[in-house]
Amino acid sequence: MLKVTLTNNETETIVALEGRMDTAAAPEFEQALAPVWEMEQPRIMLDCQKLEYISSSGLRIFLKLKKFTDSKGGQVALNALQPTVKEVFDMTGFSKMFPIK
Amino acid sequence: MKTEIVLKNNIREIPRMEEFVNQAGTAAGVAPERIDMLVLAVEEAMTNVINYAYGDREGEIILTAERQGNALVFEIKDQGKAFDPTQVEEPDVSLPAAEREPGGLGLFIIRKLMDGVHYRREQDTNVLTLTKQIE
Repeated sequence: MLKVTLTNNETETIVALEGRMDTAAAPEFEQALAPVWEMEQPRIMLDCQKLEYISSSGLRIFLKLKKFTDSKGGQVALNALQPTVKEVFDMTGFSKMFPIK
Repeated sequence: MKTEIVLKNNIREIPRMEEFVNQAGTAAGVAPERIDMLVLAVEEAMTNVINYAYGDREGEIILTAERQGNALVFEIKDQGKAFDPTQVEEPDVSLPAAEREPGGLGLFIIRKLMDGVHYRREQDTNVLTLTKQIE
């Protein structure tokens, strides 16, 4: 089960992810990002403190989000990663793509 | 002991697979914090079958788990078109985002996480065997 919550503050959109982003849940993440795909200059903070698991289906959407924000001159960053998710990010080179703030 | 579960080629079956791998890992004495890495490897293999093996047809995926000596062995079988996932080219994970393609990560992850990855075609069945040594 995955819960995605979008919150806008003055400077950025916080996308809070909670639970497991497996292949069954990844489409929900992509759909929840619908407002982001419309943004002119997206500034996104992915709150991954409660993200427990991710597979390549979820990474695919992280990559799409990174490519999108780069193409718009925006930015996307992460906060802390759980050990399991961090291991997957390190293994696949995603740690280098997403600055951790 | 060998355990088995029969799954449909549908992403809604992923949670049933996760529960099965959790039980098999626990029974084989895998450390709790490492079980999700087994789930991940099997999920990637199952996702490949769901995406490619049967086209739009409904089909079955048979997943087994067995402790063999110091190893835990998973077999993923389907009766879709012949496909050897071990021949898929590995992505270059050092590239920046702009140059990265989304494909190929699943098998890359499987190779990183498992000690053995073997494919064979048995008559009309694809058999992918994933082996993990248990410390």
